[in-house]
Amino acid sequence: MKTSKKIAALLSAAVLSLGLMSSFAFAASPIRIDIDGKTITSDTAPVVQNGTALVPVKVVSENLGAEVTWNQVKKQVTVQTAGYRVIFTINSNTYTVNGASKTLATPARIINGKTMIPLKAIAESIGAAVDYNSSSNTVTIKYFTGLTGSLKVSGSTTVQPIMQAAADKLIAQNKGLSITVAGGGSGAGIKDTINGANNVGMSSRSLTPDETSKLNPYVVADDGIAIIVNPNNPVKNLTKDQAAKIFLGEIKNWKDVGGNNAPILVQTRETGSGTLTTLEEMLLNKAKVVSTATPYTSSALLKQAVAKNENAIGFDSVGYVDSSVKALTLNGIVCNPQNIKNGAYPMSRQLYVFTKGRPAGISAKLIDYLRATTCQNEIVSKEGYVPFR
Amino acid sequence: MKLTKVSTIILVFVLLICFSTGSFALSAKDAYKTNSSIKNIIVMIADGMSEDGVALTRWYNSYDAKTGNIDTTKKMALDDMASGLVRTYWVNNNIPGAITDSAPAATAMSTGVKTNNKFLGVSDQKSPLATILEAAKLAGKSTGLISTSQVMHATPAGYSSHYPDRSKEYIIAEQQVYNNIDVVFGGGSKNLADRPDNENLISVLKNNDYNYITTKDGLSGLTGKTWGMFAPVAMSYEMDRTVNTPNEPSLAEMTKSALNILSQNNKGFFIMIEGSKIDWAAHANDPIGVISDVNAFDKAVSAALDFAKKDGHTMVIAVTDHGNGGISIGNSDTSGTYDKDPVSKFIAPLKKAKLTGEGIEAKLNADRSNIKEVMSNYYGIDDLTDAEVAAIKDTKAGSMNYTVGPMISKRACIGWTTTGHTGEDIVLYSYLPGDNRITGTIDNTDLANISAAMWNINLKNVTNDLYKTAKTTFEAKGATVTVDGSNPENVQLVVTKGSNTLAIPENKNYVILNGSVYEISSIDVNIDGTFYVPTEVADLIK
Repeated sequence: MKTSKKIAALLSAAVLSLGLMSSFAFAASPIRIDIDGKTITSDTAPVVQNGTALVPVKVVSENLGAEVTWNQVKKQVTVQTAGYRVIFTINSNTYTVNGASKTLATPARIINGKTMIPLKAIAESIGAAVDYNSSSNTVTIKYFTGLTGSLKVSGSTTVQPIMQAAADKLIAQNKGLSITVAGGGSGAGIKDTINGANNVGMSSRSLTPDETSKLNPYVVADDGIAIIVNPNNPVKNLTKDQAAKIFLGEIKNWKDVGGNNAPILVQTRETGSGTLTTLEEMLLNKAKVVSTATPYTSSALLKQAVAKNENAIGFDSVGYVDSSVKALTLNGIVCNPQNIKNGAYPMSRQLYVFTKGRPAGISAKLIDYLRATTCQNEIVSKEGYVPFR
Repeated sequence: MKLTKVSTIILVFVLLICFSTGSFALSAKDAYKTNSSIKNIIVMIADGMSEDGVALTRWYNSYDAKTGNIDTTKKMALDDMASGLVRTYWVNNNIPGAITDSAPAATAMSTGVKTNNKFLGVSDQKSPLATILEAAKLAGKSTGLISTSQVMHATPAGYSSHYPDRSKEYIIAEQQVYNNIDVVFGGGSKNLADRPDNENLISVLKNNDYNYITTKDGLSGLTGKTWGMFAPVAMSYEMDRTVNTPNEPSLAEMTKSALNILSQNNKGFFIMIEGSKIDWAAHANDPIGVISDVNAFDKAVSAALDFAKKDGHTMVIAVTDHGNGGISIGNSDTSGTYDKDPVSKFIAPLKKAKLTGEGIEAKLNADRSNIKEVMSNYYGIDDLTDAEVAAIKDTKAGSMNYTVGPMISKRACIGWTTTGHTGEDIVLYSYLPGDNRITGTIDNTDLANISAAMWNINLKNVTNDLYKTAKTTFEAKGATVTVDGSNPENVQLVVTKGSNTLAIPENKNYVILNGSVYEISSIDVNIDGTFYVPTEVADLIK
């Protein structure tokens, strides 16, 4: 409260000193917005009105991991984080936070075709700290910094690399924060979250109705399940039907799909693996992978097995595919970000994290971080997965 | 002066007549008028409830099995509401059919337009039609939907989705989830999170601020938008519920909870409440299932009436969508005895059943070696023939009521003419503020049209506003329109003009303009590659 009053005062002082009294005035030099020490880039500069900074809703929200939705008829813009849903009505002095109505002095506005929302109101609503430095004309938002506490995360080994990299980043910028990330597979992660054995779970398969009734899932990336073979295997493409028959054990020799005269060695994942469940759903019409297939307990181990054996075939998240294995095209469609994103690749899926009930505190911050622009661009993409937005 | 006196006398006389008969009668023609006294409309549909099923249920309730006493004063909540008849025919290319299925019946009752078999919320030419539920929502009222089947089944789907194939429940489910209905109670969670497109609609509901509940305990103290999914597919028959699935609520419990939530909107509400499985029991010729769920429906009617009488601004309509089974008290065995047969002849055998023909299946063990015990303990038949035992043993899972229903019917002399629907006029039950009624023989389309007229809504205008043909609308603005089917489970329409790209995903309530998400007041409907969008979406491309 103190801080916000201070900002308002500072901002209005800045405005006064610059002599910008008109209600649609821009600051002489645009205000800079720093989120957790990083200046965000936007084609729209913030605006000061009646001492309140109005910021472009989309760029600020997505940098905080929030989703933005417009409603033309109701003249509303909704900003949704993992923990909060904030609805502003254009030119209205009331807004709602998780359904509770609040008032503000300077409402959200449409300025030059862009929706601008009051920074102080949105920051306070979703639990961010804001400050204003008049000499550098900079608004500082602390959202993913100043976090303390400890979190336990477990589940899908497909999601694990994204989670580990995100946790490393957050721990690096938050002294009092500890996050332990364990694998165990999607099934174990889901069970752990339901039983309260972790704070956040990870899954590479979609949750069942019963599981979803107990959990609040959030998409953190798009993904494709690549059919992988040894780089020395001459086969480049399988039809969906051929791939299914191989994993069902009905096609047993590579020569039957245009390869060498050699037995097909099917590698698989352990029961409970989200990647296995998704493969069985999307490729095998819910039938089981042939029982003679060798199971591995993680995405990494399965990949190593295929990398070592010329006659092996397996499957892995596109995030695990590297030069040690070769991803086959399926029905002639390459397993790449574009085909995954538009769903053209037949085994496209989404990756999830979830909490028991609506996320709050640092669990919510972790989920927002995973969904924020920085993490999507710098971690999800780099790890080989596909940003979901 | 003299005249005034006369008119006063007449008025008093009229009032006396009215009070003495207990209710006002309103012809269908008179009902077609803006009626500011009606803020809320509750439509209750007892699917497949032939009128003899009601009479049978009333006798069942009247008969004391222990003493054999019969209390002829026993009434159904429905009894005082009976006020007229409803025609139910359907059409295909203007050719009428005498016996309707639930999809065209629901569409007629929800949109005011007759349509083709299997069609939901679309005309017989497959173009979307606004429903009274959607029109109520646009008018700022709250909306609700309750069924004991999965809520994606034909009747509730006819009020809340637009698709020419009732069997595509996963498409219907997606439209319902995105149709922003305030209260949805029933079965069907499987259609929300075990889907061909791999989407998780429960997660969508939670993100859209819905309470999501799965047991009857969750029904109390609710405020705000709520989805209650009490079974993966259909809920149990009322008789079986307490024994087999005690966590499920009754139809009356769902009704009370929904009315509690919806009545918090001072602009009023619309709700459709279906007793879904009377129909399924009638298809199976199981009189126990019929009695079980006619009673469950009647208790829900009673709850709705209590609300309406207390509220004073609520119309309650109860109907069936069509007859089913040709159920009759008396069959060919009573041709020579009917004029001597006591009530007990028909009712005593039925009173011995504790579960419906569906409910007993859960009591049979895996190898069905306990058929005689189960049939005696739970269905009241202890004189099974060897052929009957064999027939029960051979019945495939999920259709036990089809096997045992006729067995108990025979013992109770309950007649059936078919396992399909029937074409009789159905009874109109109504209650309007001031203990008023709608009278005469109306058409099932009148139900939507009278409701709309009372609320001063023109459903045709709402259809024109919500469901414009996207291609012609955007092409007239000089835009390029293509169907993007790269993901067959999530087809979208892509509109481009200049630097603007508008993506319209099927079955969702939003569009994406240049990467920004715009929520809309209806759903993007795709019927065989033809997309329909509301005016507000058309306006996004100048």
